[in-house]
Amino acid sequence: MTSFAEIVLAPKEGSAFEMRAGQVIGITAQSGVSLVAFNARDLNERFDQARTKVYNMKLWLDLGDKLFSKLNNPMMTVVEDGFKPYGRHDLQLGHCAGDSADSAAVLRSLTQALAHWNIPAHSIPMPLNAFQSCEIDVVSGAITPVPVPLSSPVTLVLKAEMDLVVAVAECPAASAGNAAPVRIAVVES
Amino acid sequence: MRIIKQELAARNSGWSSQIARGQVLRLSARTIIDFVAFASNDYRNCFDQALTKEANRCIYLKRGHSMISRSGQRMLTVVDDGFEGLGTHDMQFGMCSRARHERSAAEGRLAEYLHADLKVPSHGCAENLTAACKPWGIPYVDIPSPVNLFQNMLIDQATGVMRRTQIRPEAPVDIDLVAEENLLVAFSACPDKASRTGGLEVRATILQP
Ligand SMILES: [Zn+2]
Repeated sequence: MTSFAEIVLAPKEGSAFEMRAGQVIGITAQSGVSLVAFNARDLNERFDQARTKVYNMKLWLDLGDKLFSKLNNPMMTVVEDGFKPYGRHDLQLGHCAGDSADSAAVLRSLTQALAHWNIPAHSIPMPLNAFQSCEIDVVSGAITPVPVPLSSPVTLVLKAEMDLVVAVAECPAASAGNAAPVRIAVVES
Repeated sequence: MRIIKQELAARNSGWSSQIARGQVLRLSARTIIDFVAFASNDYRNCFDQALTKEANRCIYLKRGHSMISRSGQRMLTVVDDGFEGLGTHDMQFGMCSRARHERSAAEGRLAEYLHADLKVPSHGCAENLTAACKPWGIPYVDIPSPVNLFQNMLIDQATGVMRRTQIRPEAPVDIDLVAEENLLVAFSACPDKASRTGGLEVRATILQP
């Protein structure tokens, strides 16, 4: 696999880039990362938390599960998940998984990163909050974000199922202590 | 309370209306309702599932909870809930649609709707809400994922796997929501394929306290 793009994100920093169908993205982090995606050929087609959960009929993502768009098309597939022993990537809450102190900053970072594609803040969907876990009591419905202290960075690998514009932002709130920078690598599979 | 407006939305159809701050929206049904709201002064500021779950710290919408907009404002608050004790209102799912039903059929997954024998409807909540929002200039892509009233899901605590259930009110019950702002509200009377009825009509009443 040859990497053609490597991005390092400082705390609360965001970045956006294009991926072609079949390429894979490796996100290596010790803190939370909010990720959103758009169909590169129709930017009105956005990642959708609800459609993703309906398609998988599950609250969260396992290996092989797909991220879906509002228009019911697969956008990405989970091909590797180093976070699995520690928690579940959040698909419930807002940017930066419910820490309102940081969600505004993270949304700003995503908006800045997506300005190149003229995508305004209100068109940025609620994200996949990678490496951010929530405890959910399915009876009472109570939901509590649970920061996962990772002693070293772990990697989530997603394969693009369509040509995409992807935006990511680092969420310091979700980490415990000093987190390593987030490293993003986009590679041909 | 004085009745401002009372309308019946037929099975598998959409409905929308403006509602003033302080007024109460009463939805009466024994079927799934996909319900959304938009701030009257800026339709881009619409209901948001994620921020609602975040604010209420609950994945279900319950009495006393508020529906929250994208900009973090309270839109509507549940003041009465006839479904309480029977089931929960869902905030995981989106809207059913022709596209979704076709994908399910192609993948052999229609049984997940529990009544695969029911004819696949020609349209669903996505199409109903799109039609209901069209007069206000809001396209499908900008209609948020709804709160799915009376959609009781069974969720496995360990795996997170969700299953539809047939838990519905036996006779129509009311859910009352007070508007915290001037709003455009819209819903679809779902062609509920998980229920033997295949969806039923919904009565919408706007009340002035
Ligand atoms: Zn429906």
